[in-house]
Amino acid sequence: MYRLLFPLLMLMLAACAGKPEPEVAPVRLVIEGYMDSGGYPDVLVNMSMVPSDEEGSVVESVVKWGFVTLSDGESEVVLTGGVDYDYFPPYHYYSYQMKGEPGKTYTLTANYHGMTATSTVTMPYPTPIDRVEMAPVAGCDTVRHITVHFKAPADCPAYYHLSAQVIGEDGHPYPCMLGAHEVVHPGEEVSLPVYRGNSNRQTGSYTSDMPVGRKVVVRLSRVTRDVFLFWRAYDNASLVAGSVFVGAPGSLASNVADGYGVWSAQGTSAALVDVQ
Amino acid sequence: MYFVTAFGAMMAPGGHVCAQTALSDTLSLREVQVTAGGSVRPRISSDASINFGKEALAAAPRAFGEADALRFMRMLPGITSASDYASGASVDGMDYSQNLYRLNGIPVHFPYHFGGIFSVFSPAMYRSATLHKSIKDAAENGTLGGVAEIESSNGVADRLSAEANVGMIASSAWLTVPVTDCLSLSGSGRVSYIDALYAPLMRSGGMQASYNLADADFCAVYAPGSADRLRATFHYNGDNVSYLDGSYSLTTALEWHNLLAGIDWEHEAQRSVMRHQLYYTRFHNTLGLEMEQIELHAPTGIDEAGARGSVDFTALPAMWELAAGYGARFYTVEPQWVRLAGMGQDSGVRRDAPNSFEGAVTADLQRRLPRRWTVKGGVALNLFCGAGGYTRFYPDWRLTLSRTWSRGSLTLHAGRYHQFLHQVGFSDLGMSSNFKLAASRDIPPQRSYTFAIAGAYRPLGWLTINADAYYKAVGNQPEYLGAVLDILDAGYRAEDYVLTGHGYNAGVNISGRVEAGPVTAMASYGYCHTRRRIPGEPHPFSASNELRHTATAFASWSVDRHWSLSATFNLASGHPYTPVTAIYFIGERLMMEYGHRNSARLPMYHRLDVGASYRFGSGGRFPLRHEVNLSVINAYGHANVEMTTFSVNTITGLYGRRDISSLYRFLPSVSYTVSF
Repeated sequence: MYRLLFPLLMLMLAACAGKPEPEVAPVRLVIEGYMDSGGYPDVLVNMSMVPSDEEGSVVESVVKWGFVTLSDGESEVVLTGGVDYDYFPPYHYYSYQMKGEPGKTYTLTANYHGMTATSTVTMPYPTPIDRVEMAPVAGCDTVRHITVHFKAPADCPAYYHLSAQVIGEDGHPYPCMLGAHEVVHPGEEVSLPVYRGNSNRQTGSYTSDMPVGRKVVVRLSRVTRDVFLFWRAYDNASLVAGSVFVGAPGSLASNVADGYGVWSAQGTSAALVDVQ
Repeated sequence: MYFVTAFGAMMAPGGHVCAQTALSDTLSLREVQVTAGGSVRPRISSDASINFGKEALAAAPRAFGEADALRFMRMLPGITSASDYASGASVDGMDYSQNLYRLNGIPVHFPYHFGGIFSVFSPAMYRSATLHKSIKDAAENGTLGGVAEIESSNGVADRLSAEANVGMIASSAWLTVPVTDCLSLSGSGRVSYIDALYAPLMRSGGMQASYNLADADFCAVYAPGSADRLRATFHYNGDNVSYLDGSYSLTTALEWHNLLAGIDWEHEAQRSVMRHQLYYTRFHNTLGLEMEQIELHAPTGIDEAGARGSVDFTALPAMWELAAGYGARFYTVEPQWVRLAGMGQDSGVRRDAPNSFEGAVTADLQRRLPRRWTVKGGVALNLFCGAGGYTRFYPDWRLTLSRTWSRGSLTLHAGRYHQFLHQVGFSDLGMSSNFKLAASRDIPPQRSYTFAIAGAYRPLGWLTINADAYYKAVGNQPEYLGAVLDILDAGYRAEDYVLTGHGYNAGVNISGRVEAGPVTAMASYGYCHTRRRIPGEPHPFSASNELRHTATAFASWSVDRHWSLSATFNLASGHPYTPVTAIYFIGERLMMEYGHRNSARLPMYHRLDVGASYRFGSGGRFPLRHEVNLSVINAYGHANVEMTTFSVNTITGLYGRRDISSLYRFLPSVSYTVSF
């Protein structure tokens, strides 16, 4: 009997010996930035954080002394960094020296501690918003459901990303939940629901509709396909995060070389809605 | 005087030993039937198939008041489940979808109620089960993994019998009525009320689950003479589960049902025994995502009609055995598509449901050799015709060599197997939303070359040791890379998101069984190593359901004629998962970068389930048997980790790992069963 069990015991012990070191990716720069047509660049630059069994601090990931430049092929500006508690992490880079022009190609470069991340995007032309509709939400009279309507451009497929800012509550526009859309039929009348984004900072129960009594800026941004794929993956990761019933969503597709995140030069139309 | 020179024994469901004998003198007995007393142990036969009689299933540890055949199987070595929520079992490292389940011979495409709590097979109605693992005759083809046969009684009942079970999550009733000497009818039904009693346990943080199930069965057995038997079977089950994620006001809902109907005929002639069957089976599932105005419904399903049969030739020379079989399956797979409302224009275009045909002719020929050796060769001629004129012919082969001794047996097996029906989806846990795809040019049939060895040894009358080892080289293994939102794309085709890979499974299993007086015990250990490769993935990886080490110990003690106690301890390596290698913020949400596929493992899993039963009878003109069962799942409340993720506390600015544990922690249940 022992002749049978002894090798098995050895096999078990050998297999249990030594826990492999967890796989960790090298720290990279994380870009979350955009520039609207007719608007100025607004960029968050942080470092990725190393997952471990120990707790870590978000503060350590903030890049305060980065060197961030934006070039349109003709000129280059250096973005200024500054603390801003409307953002999380509370630090962003900005400039008022370069305005977004559709058709131009913008290259963002971030340098910090020997790390360089870069991304180049050609800004699409914006699609005008035809109208914004508000509708009551059954069983809840404190929020309204918002839908944005527009006509698909002639050069489809066109890719859009929705963002919204509740004035007085949100410090800046938040990406809308399920806000990435592909439009394939030229000239089609398109209507898209505007779902408020959900951040880790929000407390209490989440509602995807807009609060009555607030003004909301709804932004329809036409983006490149790479940017669309990023936001689609972001929506998917947000949707299934933490669900034991759906497998890991996979890494987000990024248009940032040697970094994570997204840089979007985008043609944006906006509408101010008084939610009543 | 006659000398038995070869004796191969197979314990059939119901406790009958069907033994083929070969004698060295002038008389050969074709068959000897020995009726044995029931055993509470599963029987592992010399061909490594495992048989459960009704006594074994009745003595199985109960979960939520139900003694379930498939749950019992998962206690055996080599049969594993990677999660408390998993709907399925991996046999020798194969995928959940690579098992074939049959209910009275009819394929069941999704045999589980939610989360693998228990199967759709009524324990009162279906009282015997047979599991073929890696060693299978040519007749058992069409799948790379195990074949589980669940059977109701195939004889005409001679007396009125009934059983009612009242548990904390479900109640069931079963009734058998002998109508005439040659006809009996059986029916059973089960309904749940999980939400009523277990709702607090199905709530965690901002999440709330809701679930209900129902199933119904009907069976008629008609035996007009001693040579013929007809059996009609009907089964239906329906399940509804919903899961509200408060952080996104998102409700994920699953609805599925199986519908089965079939008739089988067995005829014993002088020179052969024939079995023929016609059936229809249907499985449909709808995955729903509802978030206020948005409603997304992704239906999928399969409808199958088929025929199968076998002929055992009993008039061959004594040293020979021949069994021939056939099977024809016509199925229509409804590919996953999406019906969407609330995001712009309502949309939804149902895709064409392609028809497929899978046919096979099989033969198994066995020859007894001197010194108790037996050799068996088999061939399965498989023909598959799929959509777009996709046609393939695969002749598969089997070769099995076995040797018996007075105290044991040894079996060596090699074979080639094909599987034409794939199943893929978003879930690694074998959820019902994982959808079927028939083989096509995009996703060719799955294939395996299997080599296995199995042995049984009984050194003492009360101790039996079984061991087996296997190596499977597998090809065309589908891996689904789609994400939930991909199905919204206008040109979505599931096939475009499936990659096929290859790899191998290797492992050993060993178990020891003790049956000594009032004590029955079983201990088992399994080792499994899998490797897969797919295009675009630079490193080989483990299969999602691989549990490298598993150990199970089960013991029951009949204290007296009333009381019995049981305990089951499970210990297993954590299952593989794709690790998070970096985390970062986008849109103020924590995003994750993932490393190599399945390159990390969850912590070790362990759980102790205990149970106690009190049985008594009530006399009088109408004697009844009663049983009260108390069971506790995960008696010491260990928080087994189901998944690991990361979260951030935006107030403190600290982030860290967050383990999500199984809800099965210290779950008590009580059931009462009355029968006659």
